[in-house]
Amino acid sequence: MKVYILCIAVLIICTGFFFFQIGSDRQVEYSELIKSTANNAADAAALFYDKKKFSHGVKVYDKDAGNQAIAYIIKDNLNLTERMTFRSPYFSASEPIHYHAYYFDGDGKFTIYRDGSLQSSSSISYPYLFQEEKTGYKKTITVPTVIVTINAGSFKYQVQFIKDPDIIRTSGYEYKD
Amino acid sequence: MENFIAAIVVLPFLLFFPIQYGVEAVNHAHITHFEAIAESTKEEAKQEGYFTPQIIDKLKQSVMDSYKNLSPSDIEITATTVPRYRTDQFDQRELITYDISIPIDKIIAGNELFGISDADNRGRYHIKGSIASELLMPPGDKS
Repeated sequence: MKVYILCIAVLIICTGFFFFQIGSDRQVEYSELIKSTANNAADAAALFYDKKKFSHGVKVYDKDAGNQAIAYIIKDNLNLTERMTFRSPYFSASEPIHYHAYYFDGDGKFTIYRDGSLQSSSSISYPYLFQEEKTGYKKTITVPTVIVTINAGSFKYQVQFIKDPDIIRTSGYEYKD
Repeated sequence: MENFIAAIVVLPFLLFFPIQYGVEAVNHAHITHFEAIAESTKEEAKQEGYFTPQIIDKLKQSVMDSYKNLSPSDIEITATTVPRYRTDQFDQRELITYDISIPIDKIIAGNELFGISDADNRGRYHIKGSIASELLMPPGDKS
Protein backbone atom coordinates (compact mmCIF):
# COMPACT_ATOMS: atom_id res chain seq x y z
CA MET A 1 0.00 0.00 0.00
CA LYS A 2 2.85 2.36 0.84
CA VAL A 3 4.50 1.67 -2.52
CA TYR A 4 1.21 2.31 -4.28
CA ILE A 5 0.67 5.65 -2.57
CA LEU A 6 4.28 6.67 -3.20
CA CYS A 7 4.02 5.79 -6.88
CA ILE A 8 0.79 7.77 -7.25
CA ALA A 9 2.50 10.78 -5.66
CA VAL A 10 5.47 10.45 -8.03
CA LEU A 11 3.07 10.14 -10.99
CA ILE A 12 1.28 13.35 -9.98
CA ILE A 13 4.57 15.26 -9.65
CA CYS A 14 5.86 13.93 -12.98
CA THR A 15 2.59 14.81 -14.71
CA GLY A 16 2.76 18.33 -13.27
CA PHE A 17 6.28 18.80 -14.58
CA PHE A 18 5.25 17.29 -17.94
CA PHE A 19 2.60 19.94 -18.47
CA PHE A 20 4.89 22.67 -17.11
CA GLN A 21 7.60 21.73 -19.62
CA ILE A 22 5.14 21.87 -22.52
CA GLY A 23 3.85 25.27 -21.39
CA SER A 24 7.34 26.64 -20.85
CA ASP A 25 8.52 25.55 -24.30
CA ARG A 26 5.42 26.96 -26.00
CA GLN A 27 5.90 30.26 -24.13
CA VAL A 28 9.45 30.60 -25.45
CA GLU A 29 8.28 29.79 -28.99
CA TYR A 30 5.41 32.29 -28.85
CA SER A 31 7.68 34.92 -27.34
CA GLU A 32 10.09 34.58 -30.26
CA LEU A 33 7.21 34.64 -32.74
CA ILE A 34 5.85 37.86 -31.22
CA LYS A 35 9.33 39.42 -31.24
CA SER A 36 9.73 38.49 -34.92
CA THR A 37 6.28 39.93 -35.70
CA ALA A 38 7.14 43.22 -33.93
CA ASN A 39 10.34 43.34 -35.99
CA ASN A 40 8.49 42.74 -39.26
CA ALA A 41 5.82 45.31 -38.36
CA ALA A 42 8.38 47.99 -37.46
CA ASP A 43 10.31 47.26 -40.65
CA ALA A 44 7.19 47.59 -42.80
CA ALA A 45 6.09 50.86 -41.16
CA ALA A 46 9.55 52.37 -41.57
CA LEU A 47 9.35 52.00 -45.38
CA PHE A 48 6.62 54.64 -45.74
CA TYR A 49 7.68 58.27 -45.52
CA ASP A 50 6.96 61.67 -47.08
CA LYS A 51 9.01 61.77 -50.32
CA LYS A 52 8.83 65.54 -50.67
CA LYS A 53 10.26 66.20 -47.22
CA PHE A 54 12.82 63.43 -47.74
CA SER A 55 14.05 65.22 -50.87
CA HIS A 56 14.88 68.13 -48.51
CA GLY A 57 16.83 65.79 -46.26
CA VAL A 58 14.20 65.20 -43.55
CA LYS A 59 12.55 61.80 -43.07
CA VAL A 60 8.98 62.13 -41.82
CA TYR A 61 7.06 58.86 -41.60
CA ASP A 62 3.67 58.36 -43.24
CA LYS A 63 1.78 57.29 -40.13
CA ASP A 64 -1.42 56.22 -41.95
CA ALA A 65 0.40 53.83 -44.25
CA GLY A 66 2.65 52.70 -41.41
CA ASN A 67 -0.26 51.91 -39.09
CA GLN A 68 -2.05 49.98 -41.85
CA ALA A 69 1.08 47.91 -42.44
CA ILE A 70 1.58 47.27 -38.71
CA ALA A 71 -2.03 46.15 -38.18
CA TYR A 72 -2.00 43.84 -41.21
CA ILE A 73 1.35 42.23 -40.44
CA ILE A 74 0.53 41.64 -36.77
CA LYS A 75 -2.84 40.08 -37.68
CA ASP A 76 -1.35 37.92 -40.43
CA ASN A 77 1.83 36.77 -38.70
CA LEU A 78 0.13 35.93 -35.39
CA ASN A 79 -2.93 34.42 -37.15
CA LEU A 80 -5.36 36.57 -35.16
CA THR A 81 -9.11 36.76 -35.52
CA GLU A 82 -10.94 39.86 -36.78
CA ARG A 83 -11.14 41.06 -33.17
CA MET A 84 -7.33 40.76 -32.86
CA THR A 85 -7.54 37.81 -30.46
CA PHE A 86 -5.43 34.69 -30.61
CA ARG A 87 -6.89 31.46 -31.96
CA SER A 88 -4.41 29.52 -29.79
CA PRO A 89 -5.73 28.08 -26.48
CA TYR A 90 -2.66 29.45 -24.72
CA PHE A 91 -4.08 32.98 -24.85
CA SER A 92 -7.37 34.54 -23.94
CA ALA A 93 -10.04 34.20 -26.64
CA SER A 94 -11.87 37.30 -25.43
CA GLU A 95 -9.08 39.79 -24.72
CA PRO A 96 -7.54 41.30 -27.88
CA ILE A 97 -3.83 41.98 -28.18
CA HIS A 98 -2.63 45.57 -27.93
CA TYR A 99 0.22 47.18 -29.78
CA HIS A 100 2.01 50.50 -29.62
CA ALA A 101 3.83 52.17 -32.49
CA TYR A 102 6.43 54.83 -31.72
CA TYR A 103 7.47 57.06 -34.63
CA PHE A 104 10.63 59.17 -34.33
CA ASP A 105 10.63 61.57 -37.29
CA GLY A 106 13.64 63.40 -38.64
CA ASP A 107 12.04 66.80 -37.86
CA GLY A 108 12.06 66.05 -34.12
CA LYS A 109 8.46 64.89 -33.86
CA PHE A 110 7.72 61.90 -31.61
CA THR A 111 4.31 60.27 -32.11
CA ILE A 112 2.74 57.38 -30.21
CA TYR A 113 -0.10 55.25 -31.58
CA ARG A 114 -1.99 52.59 -29.64
CA ASP A 115 -3.87 50.01 -31.68
CA GLY A 116 -3.71 52.38 -34.64
CA SER A 117 -5.16 55.39 -32.75
CA LEU A 118 -3.11 58.49 -31.96
CA GLN A 119 -2.16 58.68 -28.31
CA SER A 120 0.28 61.55 -28.12
CA SER A 121 2.56 63.74 -30.17
CA SER A 122 5.48 65.80 -28.89
CA SER A 123 8.70 67.45 -30.00
CA ILE A 124 12.04 65.97 -29.05
CA SER A 125 15.69 66.58 -29.86
CA TYR A 126 18.26 63.99 -30.84
CA PRO A 127 19.92 62.10 -29.25
CA TYR A 128 16.83 61.09 -27.32
CA LEU A 129 16.71 58.45 -24.59
CA PHE A 130 13.59 56.41 -25.26
CA GLN A 131 12.22 54.13 -22.54
CA GLU A 132 9.38 51.79 -23.41
CA GLU A 133 6.90 51.97 -20.52
CA LYS A 134 5.69 48.37 -20.68
CA THR A 135 9.02 46.57 -20.82
CA GLY A 136 11.49 49.16 -19.51
CA TYR A 137 13.43 48.74 -22.77
CA LYS A 138 15.80 51.68 -23.26
CA LYS A 139 17.35 52.92 -26.46
CA THR A 140 19.17 56.09 -27.42
CA ILE A 141 17.51 57.32 -30.62
CA THR A 142 19.80 59.23 -32.98
CA VAL A 143 18.15 58.64 -36.39
CA PRO A 144 14.52 58.36 -37.59
CA THR A 145 13.19 55.14 -36.12
CA VAL A 146 9.96 53.16 -35.80
CA ILE A 147 9.48 50.98 -32.72
CA VAL A 148 6.59 48.53 -32.29
CA THR A 149 5.59 46.95 -28.98
CA ILE A 150 3.14 44.05 -28.93
CA ASN A 151 1.37 43.12 -25.69
CA ALA A 152 -0.03 39.66 -26.30
CA GLY A 153 -1.59 39.40 -22.83
CA SER A 154 -1.29 36.54 -20.38
CA PHE A 155 0.15 33.23 -21.52
CA LYS A 156 -2.02 30.54 -19.95
CA TYR A 157 -0.10 27.69 -18.40
CA GLN A 158 -2.02 24.46 -17.95
CA VAL A 159 -0.63 23.94 -14.45
CA GLN A 160 -2.36 26.00 -11.80
CA PHE A 161 0.62 26.74 -9.57
CA ILE A 162 2.24 28.98 -12.21
CA LYS A 163 1.29 32.64 -12.33
CA ASP A 164 0.44 33.35 -15.98
CA PRO A 165 3.13 35.70 -17.33
CA ASP A 166 2.43 38.53 -19.77
CA ILE A 167 4.23 38.36 -23.09
CA ILE A 168 5.27 41.84 -24.21
CA ARG A 169 7.93 42.18 -26.92
CA THR A 170 9.44 45.24 -28.53
CA SER A 171 11.41 45.72 -31.74
CA GLY A 172 12.52 48.69 -33.77
CA TYR A 173 13.80 49.47 -37.22
CA GLU A 174 16.06 52.35 -38.05
CA TYR A 175 17.58 53.43 -41.34
CA LYS A 176 21.03 54.88 -41.00
CA ASP A 177 22.17 57.03 -43.90
CA MET B 1 7.19 -9.77 -3.31
CA GLU B 2 4.07 -7.57 -3.35
CA ASN B 3 6.24 -4.45 -3.49
CA PHE B 4 8.19 -5.93 -6.40
CA ILE B 5 5.02 -6.67 -8.36
CA ALA B 6 3.63 -3.21 -7.62
CA ALA B 7 6.88 -1.62 -8.82
CA ILE B 8 6.87 -3.73 -12.03
CA VAL B 9 3.31 -2.59 -12.80
CA VAL B 10 4.02 1.09 -12.21
CA LEU B 11 7.52 1.21 -13.77
CA PRO B 12 6.46 1.60 -17.46
CA PHE B 13 4.29 4.58 -16.55
CA LEU B 14 7.08 6.19 -14.55
CA LEU B 15 9.70 5.51 -17.24
CA PHE B 16 7.55 7.34 -19.79
CA PHE B 17 8.14 10.71 -18.12
CA PRO B 18 11.94 11.08 -18.30
CA ILE B 19 11.88 9.81 -21.89
CA GLN B 20 9.10 12.26 -22.77
CA TYR B 21 11.06 15.11 -21.15
CA GLY B 22 13.93 14.26 -23.51
CA VAL B 23 11.67 14.06 -26.58
CA GLU B 24 10.08 17.42 -25.75
CA ALA B 25 13.50 19.01 -25.15
CA VAL B 26 14.80 17.76 -28.50
CA ASN B 27 11.71 18.98 -30.36
CA HIS B 28 11.94 22.37 -28.67
CA ALA B 29 15.64 22.70 -29.56
CA HIS B 30 14.88 21.88 -33.20
CA ILE B 31 12.04 24.39 -33.30
CA THR B 32 14.02 27.27 -31.76
CA HIS B 33 16.97 26.65 -34.05
CA PHE B 34 14.63 26.47 -37.05
CA GLU B 35 13.04 29.78 -35.99
CA ALA B 36 16.48 31.43 -35.85
CA ILE B 37 17.36 30.15 -39.35
CA ALA B 38 14.00 31.27 -40.75
CA GLU B 39 14.43 34.73 -39.19
CA SER B 40 17.78 35.34 -40.86
CA THR B 41 16.44 33.96 -44.16
CA LYS B 42 13.50 36.37 -44.04
CA GLU B 43 15.92 39.30 -43.70
CA GLU B 44 17.65 38.23 -46.91
CA ALA B 45 14.32 37.82 -48.69
CA LYS B 46 13.31 41.36 -47.63
CA GLN B 47 16.44 42.75 -49.32
CA GLU B 48 15.95 40.70 -52.50
CA GLY B 49 12.20 41.31 -52.67
CA TYR B 50 11.32 37.63 -52.82
CA PHE B 51 12.57 34.16 -51.86
CA THR B 52 15.17 33.52 -54.54
CA PRO B 53 16.19 29.93 -55.40
CA GLN B 54 19.54 30.63 -53.70
CA ILE B 55 17.81 31.76 -50.49
CA ILE B 56 15.57 28.69 -50.50
CA ASP B 57 18.54 26.35 -51.07
CA LYS B 58 20.53 28.04 -48.31
CA LEU B 59 17.57 27.74 -45.92
CA LYS B 60 17.17 24.04 -46.67
CA GLN B 61 20.90 23.41 -46.27
CA SER B 62 21.05 25.26 -42.93
CA VAL B 63 18.08 23.30 -41.58
CA MET B 64 19.51 19.97 -42.78
CA ASP B 65 22.88 20.77 -41.19
CA SER B 66 21.30 21.24 -37.78
CA TYR B 67 18.51 18.68 -38.00
CA LYS B 68 19.88 15.19 -38.57
CA ASN B 69 18.25 12.66 -40.90
CA LEU B 70 16.36 15.27 -42.84
CA SER B 71 16.10 15.38 -46.63
CA PRO B 72 15.34 18.48 -48.76
CA SER B 73 11.88 17.14 -49.55
CA ASP B 74 11.00 17.08 -45.82
CA ILE B 75 11.31 20.88 -45.64
CA GLU B 76 8.26 22.41 -47.28
CA ILE B 77 8.52 26.00 -48.43
CA THR B 78 5.63 27.93 -49.99
CA ALA B 79 6.81 31.49 -50.50
CA THR B 80 6.72 34.41 -52.88
CA THR B 81 9.10 33.58 -55.71
CA VAL B 82 8.53 36.63 -57.91
CA PRO B 83 9.85 40.08 -56.96
CA ARG B 84 7.72 42.33 -54.79
CA TYR B 85 8.55 46.04 -54.64
CA ARG B 86 8.41 48.87 -52.14
CA THR B 87 5.33 51.03 -52.55
CA ASP B 88 4.55 54.57 -51.47
CA GLN B 89 1.25 53.48 -49.93
CA PHE B 90 0.55 50.25 -48.07
CA ASP B 91 -0.50 47.52 -50.50
CA GLN B 92 -0.84 44.01 -49.09
CA ARG B 93 -0.40 42.56 -52.59
CA GLU B 94 3.21 43.72 -52.52
CA LEU B 95 4.03 41.84 -49.32
CA ILE B 96 6.26 38.78 -49.42
CA THR B 97 4.40 35.77 -48.01
CA TYR B 98 5.99 32.57 -46.74
CA ASP B 99 5.02 29.26 -45.16
CA ILE B 100 8.04 27.19 -44.11
CA SER B 101 7.59 23.92 -42.23
CA ILE B 102 9.71 21.10 -40.83
CA PRO B 103 8.55 17.66 -39.67
CA ILE B 104 8.27 16.72 -36.01
CA ASP B 105 8.82 12.96 -36.12
CA LYS B 106 7.90 12.07 -32.55
CA ILE B 107 5.54 14.05 -30.34
CA ILE B 108 4.86 11.49 -27.60
CA ALA B 109 7.44 8.95 -26.40
CA GLY B 110 6.19 5.38 -26.15
CA ASN B 111 3.15 6.15 -28.27
CA GLU B 112 2.30 2.45 -28.67
CA LEU B 113 1.75 2.24 -24.90
CA PHE B 114 -1.10 4.74 -25.26
CA GLY B 115 -2.52 3.27 -28.47
CA ILE B 116 -1.29 6.13 -30.65
CA SER B 117 -0.07 5.10 -34.10
CA ASP B 118 3.24 6.35 -35.53
CA ALA B 119 1.33 8.28 -38.21
CA ASP B 120 -0.71 10.15 -35.58
CA ASN B 121 2.43 10.81 -33.55
CA ARG B 122 3.93 13.01 -36.28
CA GLY B 123 3.33 16.62 -37.08
CA ARG B 124 4.77 19.64 -38.83
CA TYR B 125 5.89 22.94 -37.34
CA HIS B 126 4.98 25.90 -39.54
CA ILE B 127 6.42 29.38 -39.64
CA LYS B 128 4.22 31.56 -41.82
CA GLY B 129 3.39 35.18 -42.30
CA SER B 130 4.19 38.17 -44.44
CA ILE B 131 6.97 40.72 -44.58
CA ALA B 132 7.47 43.96 -46.48
CA SER B 133 9.80 44.06 -49.44
CA GLU B 134 12.66 46.56 -49.42
CA LEU B 135 13.32 46.13 -53.15
CA LEU B 136 13.03 49.36 -55.10
CA MET B 137 10.82 49.32 -58.18
CA PRO B 138 12.87 49.46 -61.41
CA PRO B 139 12.88 52.95 -62.97
CA GLY B 140 10.15 53.44 -65.53
CA ASP B 141 7.96 50.64 -64.16
CA LYS B 142 4.95 52.33 -62.54
CA SER B 143 2.54 49.35 -62.80
